[in-house]
Amino acid sequence: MARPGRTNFHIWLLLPAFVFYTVFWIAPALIALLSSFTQWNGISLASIHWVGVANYLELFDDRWFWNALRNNLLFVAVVLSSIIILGMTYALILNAKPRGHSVFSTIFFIPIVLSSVVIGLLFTQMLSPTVGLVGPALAAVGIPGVEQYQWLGSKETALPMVMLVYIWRELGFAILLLLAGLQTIPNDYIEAARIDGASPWNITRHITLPLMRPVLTVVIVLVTTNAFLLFDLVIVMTNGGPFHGSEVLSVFMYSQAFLKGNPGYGTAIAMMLFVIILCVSGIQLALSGRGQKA
Amino acid sequence: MFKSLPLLVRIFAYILLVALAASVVLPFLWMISTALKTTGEINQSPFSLPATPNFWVFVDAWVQGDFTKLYLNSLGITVVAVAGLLAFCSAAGYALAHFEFRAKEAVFIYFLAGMMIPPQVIMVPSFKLMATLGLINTYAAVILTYFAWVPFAIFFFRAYFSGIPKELAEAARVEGVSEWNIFIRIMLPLAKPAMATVGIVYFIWIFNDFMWPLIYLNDQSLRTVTLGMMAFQGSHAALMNLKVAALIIATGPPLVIFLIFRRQIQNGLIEGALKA
Repeated sequence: MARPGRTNFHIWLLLPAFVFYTVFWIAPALIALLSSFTQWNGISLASIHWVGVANYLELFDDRWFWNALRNNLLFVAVVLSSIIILGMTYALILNAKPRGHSVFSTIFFIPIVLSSVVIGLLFTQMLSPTVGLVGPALAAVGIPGVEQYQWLGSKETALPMVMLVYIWRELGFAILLLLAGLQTIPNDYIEAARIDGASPWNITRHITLPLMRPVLTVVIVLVTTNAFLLFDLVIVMTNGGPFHGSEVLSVFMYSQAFLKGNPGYGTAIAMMLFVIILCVSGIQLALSGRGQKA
Repeated sequence: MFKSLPLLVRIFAYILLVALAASVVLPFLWMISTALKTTGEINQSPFSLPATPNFWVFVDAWVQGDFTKLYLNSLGITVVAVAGLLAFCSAAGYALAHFEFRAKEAVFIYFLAGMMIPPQVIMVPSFKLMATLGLINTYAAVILTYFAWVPFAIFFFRAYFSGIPKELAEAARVEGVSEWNIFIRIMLPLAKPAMATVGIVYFIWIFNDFMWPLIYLNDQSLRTVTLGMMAFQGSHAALMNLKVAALIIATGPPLVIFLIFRRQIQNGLIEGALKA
């Protein structure tokens, strides 16, 4: 196989990607792991000292960590269930090709290309009291006292509003993937079932959904992972407030590491996030492995 | 197929479709109407249409928000980062697909491992690293970090090149074509569809990215569209109609590009998500 002059060519092909990836992705990840066991002021390297698991102990004692974790879990639970249920419903409807389905799907997919920052800013304006759209619109249909309501400035509604905007943003992507999955199901199966007299509901329940399992798994994992990593929308819409009311793990980490000057503590939070992502990926591997055997 | 459903189900389906479509379209209509209104009109009612539409608002917002600079900054960073990633990752994917060498599997798994490490995890050390290298407040910091974002692209290119028969390169080798020329002149032209897919997916990711510019670029003159938008919306000096006009300026170009390249973008995102 090996010919002269050929044996080393693959090294040159791999080298640039390998170097950038190692220096700017893997090395920082290892430093993150190590520095989660240290304390430093983030300025001079001389101030670093080893503190063992102290950061983690402090983390488990920090009510704001539990607050961020709780917010994050709540966020993932609400957003995931909504996106999957709505996404599947819309994908099934569009797959039945009602009149105008391509116009509808084009409109649904628009949010995919917009940045979450711009979307967050747009909804912040629409939710602003008096001059926005939401408060006055609700007031116009007869709900009293909402015109001046601070949707993003009140503890009860700040996180739910971020959830709504997030669902609005991600739903199109979920529909896109689920619809692509539905279109790979051979029509023969469905035709055969229909000739045998199966109802649309039974076809969906017993043929479509089982065949959709691999795609559904991918979408669930993608949505879960992205929702755990929620950052942009919160920074733009509420900055974690009011009074930590919408603070999630990434935002908590960012404020500890960059605004409060505790980079060591920040990386300990980052490691917790990493463990969560690993668990989600692990569950995916287990699920898809089982799916292949079945 | 849709017609075979009971009437009630069909009506309900249409209600759902129209509701979601309205939730996407209404914000855009609200933006256009609000941007064209005077501040007085905005304060009076959010539903009224502008009496005399003020189209100059877009020019004012463009100038006040310094959008020429913002778009040039964002496009510059994105184009360099995507071009670099396409070059390195197509090369690495080709090596992993067509060459036999020791520890090949291990190298591939090493490249994939990064998929499990989200940017948030490396945010703090990356900042320290760039500070040590003196790169904070330079485009190099952002671009180098994007250059490291290789796992998905390598995975994709490896799968693509695996579908190209090795005999093609062998034949060229017998003819005496150099390895370099085989890669540049035979393999890369064949990989154009993969380039398009990976390029589209990365372009959207990087152009819309917020986190890395946020921590690396504090200098006003370096701001990207996402950073500049956030600063502009937060400024108390700008009037509501200007802020909303700026939102239209930020959503317009991606929207037009989406409508033109809808098929390619959709397919790119589908392949990207379902294959990886």
